[in-house]
Amino acid sequence: MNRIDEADVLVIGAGAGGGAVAKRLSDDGIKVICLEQGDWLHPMDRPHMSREWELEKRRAWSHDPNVRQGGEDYPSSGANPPLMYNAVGGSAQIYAGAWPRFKPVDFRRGTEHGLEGTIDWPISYEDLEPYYAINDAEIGVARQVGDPGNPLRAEGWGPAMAPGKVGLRMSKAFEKLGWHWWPADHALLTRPKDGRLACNACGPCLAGCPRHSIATPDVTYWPKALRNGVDLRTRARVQEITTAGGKATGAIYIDRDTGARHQVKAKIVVVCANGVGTPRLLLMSASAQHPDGLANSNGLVGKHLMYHAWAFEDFWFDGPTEGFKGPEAAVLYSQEFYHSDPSRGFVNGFSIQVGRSSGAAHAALGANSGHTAPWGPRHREFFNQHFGNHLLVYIQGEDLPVATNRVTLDTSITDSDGLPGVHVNYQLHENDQRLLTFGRERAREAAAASGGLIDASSSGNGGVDFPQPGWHLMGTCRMGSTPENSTTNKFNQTWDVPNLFIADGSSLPTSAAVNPTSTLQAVAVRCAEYIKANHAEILSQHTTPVDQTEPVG
Amino acid sequence: MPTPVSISLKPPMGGTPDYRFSERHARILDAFADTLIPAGEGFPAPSEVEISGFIARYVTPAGMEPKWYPRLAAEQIGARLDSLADALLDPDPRRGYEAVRAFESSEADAFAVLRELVYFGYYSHAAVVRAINLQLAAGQDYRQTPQPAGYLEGLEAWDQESLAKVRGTYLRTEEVVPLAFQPTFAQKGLSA
Repeated sequence: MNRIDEADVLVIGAGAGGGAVAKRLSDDGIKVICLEQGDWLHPMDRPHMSREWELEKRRAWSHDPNVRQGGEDYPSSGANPPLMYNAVGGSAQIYAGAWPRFKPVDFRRGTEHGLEGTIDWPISYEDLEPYYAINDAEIGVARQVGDPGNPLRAEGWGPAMAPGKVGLRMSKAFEKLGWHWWPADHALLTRPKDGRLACNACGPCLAGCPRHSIATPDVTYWPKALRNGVDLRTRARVQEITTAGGKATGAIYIDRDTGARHQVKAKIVVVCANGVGTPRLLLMSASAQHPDGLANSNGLVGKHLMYHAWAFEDFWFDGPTEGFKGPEAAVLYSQEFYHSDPSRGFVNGFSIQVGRSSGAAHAALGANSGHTAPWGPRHREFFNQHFGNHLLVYIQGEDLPVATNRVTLDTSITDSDGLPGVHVNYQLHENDQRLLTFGRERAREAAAASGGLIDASSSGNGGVDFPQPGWHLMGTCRMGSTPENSTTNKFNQTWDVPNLFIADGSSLPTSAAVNPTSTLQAVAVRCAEYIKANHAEILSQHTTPVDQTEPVG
Repeated sequence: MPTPVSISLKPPMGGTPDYRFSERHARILDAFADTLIPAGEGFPAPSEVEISGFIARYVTPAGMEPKWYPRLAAEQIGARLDSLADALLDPDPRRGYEAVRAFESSEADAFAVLRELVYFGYYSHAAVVRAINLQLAAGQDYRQTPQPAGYLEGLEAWDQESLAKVRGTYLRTEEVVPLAFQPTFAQKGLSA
C-alpha cells in the first residue's frame, strides 16, 4: 500500500448522495475523505455553445457509459444498460433538475398492495419532510407553491420556470379535461444564487448546465464541503471496502493516474455510488467473513432494481409550440392517475409529465419516438410541418420492485483498472406494462384535448432510446424495517455492518411515479444528520438498531 | 513522476480534423446527402453547406479503432461511397434515388447512421438555421446554439386564472390501507 490516510467518515462517490453527506457531516467538523472515480467537469466541457450540440448528446454526452467509454466509467452487459455519469456531481451531471417529491402513499405501498417485492418504507413522508426542506434550501429550487395534489411545501429560492407555449397549451388541456395539473418544481435557479447564474431557458439540460443554474452537487454541496475541509479525491476508484471484526475499516482505492493502490482508514463508511455502483462495490468487497459480498447475508444486494416504467408520446400540432425554448425537464405534470385503482387492471399509478422538444436535428430524427423525417422529396414538407410544432408527453410510472431485476458482477468485462463490470437484468412487470398502456391512452386524450393535433408517435412501453424502459437507478440496497426484507435500517445503516451506511438511489424501497433525486438527496441528508447526532454510539454498536429517534424533529 | 496507466479519453467535441474525404468521395457524399434532403422552399442543398466536411470530422482514420459514435471507419465509408458512385454521380437523379433506396433496404443500420450524420450536419449549419428562421413560423427564434443567448426572453408566463382553478388531493399517510378496504377516489368524489 503506497499511502494510508485516516478519516472520521469515508464517503464513496461524490454525486447527489455523497455530496450531501460530505457537506452536512463537515458542517459539524467531522473529518471526511471522499473518493470519486470521475473528474471535475468544466462548463466549457459542455456542448451548449457548439454547433454539434445535438450530435454530441449521442457521443461525449451520451448517458450510457458503454457508449462514452470514459476511463472513469465501468461497462455493463444486459439488454437495458444503466444510464449514469461518473464525475463530481455524479449522474446529476446529466439530469434536468426535475424536482418532485414522493407522495405520502409512496411510503406505504407495502400496506396498500405488497405485490412482488413491494414493502413499506421504514419511514413516512412526514419523517422525511424536514430533510426535503433542508435539502431544498441548500441547493435552491424553483417552485410554484400551492399544488392541491401534494402536501404543502415552502417557497422556493425562485419562482417556477415560465411555461412558454408548450406549458400553456397543455395546462389548458388538463383544465378542459378537469384533471389535476401543476407547474413542475425544478432544481434550477430562476434567480442567481452563490455565484450561479439564473436559467436562461436554453434547452439541453440533459447535457448539463454550463451556467450552473441546475443544482448539480459540484456547484451546490461541494464548494461548501471543500470550504469545510472535506478531502475530495478525484480519479480515485474504490476497489474494495475493507472490514475487520464485523466493522468496516475503510477502503482500498486505485489512483487512476498512476495505478497505485492506496488505503483510507475510517471509523464510518458511507457508500453513495448509485443504484448500480453501490451493489457493484459491495459485491466486489466479498471476503471470507462476507463470502456473498458485503452487507449481503440475506442476498438482497443488487435485487429489486427499479428503473421506472416510462413511455414517450410525441405530439405535433397545427401551430407553433416553440418547444425548443425552455428547460428540458417537464414544465408541468398531472397526477390525476397517481393512486392505485385496481379497476384499471393494475396497481400503483403514474405522472403525466409535459416536456419540451429539442433542436432541428432532433426534430428531423424523429423526436423521442423514432418518427424520423423521410428522406427524399417528402423530407421538406415533413420537417416544415413538424419542427417547432411539437411537444412531448411522458408517462412516468411506478414500477414494482422485482427480485429478478437485478445487478450482478460480470467478470467477463472490466473497467480501465481491470475491475469487473456489471450485468443488469431488467424487465418490466406485466402490471407495469398495463399501467403504461393505460397511461399512453391518457396522454393521447390530453394532447387531443389541447386542439389542433396533426400527428402523434410513441416509443411504446419503452422509454428513452426504445426499447429501453426508464433509467433511474433505485432499490438495489433498500432500507427497511427488518434485516429480512432490506439491506439497511431506516437510517441507512447496513444490517450486517453497523458502521457501514448506504445513502443513494439504491436506498429507496419503492420508485414512486416521480423523479427520485430530491428524495434520495433528502434521505442522504437525513442519514448525515443521524450520523452527526449518534456518532459515538454508532462506533460502539455491534448490531444495527431496528429503531432510533429522528435527529431532526 | 509515475507513468499514467489510465487516461480519461473522451470523444473530442466536434470530432477531429484527422480525416479528409478525397475529392471524388466528397462529390459522392454530397450527392448522397442532396438525395436525402433536396434543396427547395428557401432551404439550401446539403452540398451547399459543406456536409462532407462535417461528416469527415466524425470518420475514424485508417488504423484507428472507431470507438465512439458514429463508429465510422474510413475504410468502411470509403467502400460504401465507391459502391454508390456510379449511381450517385450519374446525371440522371433517378438512378441515385434508386441506389439510395436499395442501400436503405439492404443495410438498414448502416444507412441509418449515414442519414443521422447528414441530418445532424445539415440542420446545424448556420445557413440552414437561417432558412428555418425565415421560412417557418415556428422557427423564427431558433438559434444555432442554445448558449449563450438562451430563450428566456418572451417565454410566456403562467395563467394565474388557470392555476386558481386546479383541483386535487392526495392520500395522507394515515389514510393508506390495503386496497381491498380503500375507497377509490371516484367513490370519494375527488380528483387525484
